[in-house]
Amino acid sequence: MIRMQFRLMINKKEFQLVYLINLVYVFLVYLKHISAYWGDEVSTILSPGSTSAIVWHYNISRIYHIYIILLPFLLVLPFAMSFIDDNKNLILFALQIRSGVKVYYIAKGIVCFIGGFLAFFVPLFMNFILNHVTFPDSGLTFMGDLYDINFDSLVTGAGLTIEARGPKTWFLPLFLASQEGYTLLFCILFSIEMGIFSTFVYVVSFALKRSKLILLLPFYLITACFEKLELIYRGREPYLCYSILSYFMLDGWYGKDPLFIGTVILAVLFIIVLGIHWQIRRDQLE
Amino acid sequence: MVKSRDLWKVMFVLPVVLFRKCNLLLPVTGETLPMEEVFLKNIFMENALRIETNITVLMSGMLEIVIFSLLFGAHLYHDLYENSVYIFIRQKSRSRWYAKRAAELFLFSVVYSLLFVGGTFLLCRFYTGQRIDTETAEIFAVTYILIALFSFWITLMINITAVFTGSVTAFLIHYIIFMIFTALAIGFEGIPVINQFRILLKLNPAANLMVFWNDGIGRGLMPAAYFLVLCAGTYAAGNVLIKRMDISIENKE
Repeated sequence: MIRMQFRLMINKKEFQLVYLINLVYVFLVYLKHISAYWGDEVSTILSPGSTSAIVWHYNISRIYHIYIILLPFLLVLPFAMSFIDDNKNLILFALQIRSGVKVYYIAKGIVCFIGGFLAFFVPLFMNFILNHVTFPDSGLTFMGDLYDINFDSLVTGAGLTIEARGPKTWFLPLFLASQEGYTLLFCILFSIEMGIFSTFVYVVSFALKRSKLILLLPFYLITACFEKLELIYRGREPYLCYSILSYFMLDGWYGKDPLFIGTVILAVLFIIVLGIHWQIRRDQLE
Repeated sequence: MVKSRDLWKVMFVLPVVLFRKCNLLLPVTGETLPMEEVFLKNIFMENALRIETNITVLMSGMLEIVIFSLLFGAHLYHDLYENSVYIFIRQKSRSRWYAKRAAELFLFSVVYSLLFVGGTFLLCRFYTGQRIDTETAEIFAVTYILIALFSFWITLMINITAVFTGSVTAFLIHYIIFMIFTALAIGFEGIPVINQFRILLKLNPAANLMVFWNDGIGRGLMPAAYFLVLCAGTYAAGNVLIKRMDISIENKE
């Protein structure tokens, strides 16, 4: 059932569209960095880990922000609407008879997660490979030059040289050992986050099964609520970053609390499990 | 016929406005900003000049309009792909069906925008405690008309494009195009060659919607006339498309 759903997913127009948009984004970022550093001295060019599409830099600021604006819609596309499709095409009953109700819903949830993960990770990985072969390994990092006065405070959060504005860098040993490996880890974490939220929207489609377009609304509203909280609490101390989509984008650590994002993701996972269980029971009783 | 489901969709904007503008529920005494400034700041989440703003804040300010597009982006299209054969056997004139549905969509846009803009206006009145003068009422009226026309226009376009591409793709296409228009308007002076032709900025829908920029086709209700022309053009194109489409094979979703 998983294999069948996976084949269905990769042939769907929506999955191909989000994959294409992500590809266009990573290539635009890559080209923007190349054009920014064309002809420059090697030591002034960003290192491969810092030119990733999930690392904010002023070179790519506008494209980066446009991508963040599109994210709440992009993560819905891969496979979250498949339940609505099956329902409207009247093949839901046939699929459930063939595989069983429980297997149907769980397989679809798994493929939804895989689709959401792959639609983001594969383009990011292609970007990672391109950056690796293009940019010099000895260049600047996204935390600044190794001997820059900001570097210590940004990396360690210790405030020894200047006052640290945020906590220490997450996964510090990996960051110090290999910045490329560090960026790759965050590409994976970011893609996992997208997969989880995509599966969440799939569960929401059990309730909003009338229109695919309206299914774009719930997660958009959820991110808008978090952005509103971000606006309300910005500037207050202690500051907590409420922008859930940028937690695994490398745009600084100020206000980012692993406990907060962990709680959000656990809550989402709980809703996913509960939603699938409830829908299975409902269909079995019918 | 207007269904109760559609009424609920229109009313959906009220809790959104209350949540987004909840900061206005705590009135301050001695608010020095004029009420129209507070109103424009809260309608679009800011009222900075075009060259001083950024796309993230602007698109965030468009939330209520995006919600309208999502709620009604398949209003015509839904009937077309689910019931077109049934409808057009009973009603021979497709133009009449299309006119009726477009009029419904326009009515929803008018009421929705009134709740959104009017609600924000009342909250600003409560927040500032200032009297409503002629200038404030004029800004309210212009903003309301522009938002109602723009919401109707973009949602009608999504409905028509959905016939070719499906509702989700149609929405994304128009959302991305509008973001590009907004980015072009913000960075107009920095675009080589294009920045020589000021008329392109004046014709940019984003520049006409953001009334506080004063970079549109004119002042007052001139942008509204421009949006009316766009609506009429879109309606006419949609009418031709609906009349020509083969309803037996149109089932994109």
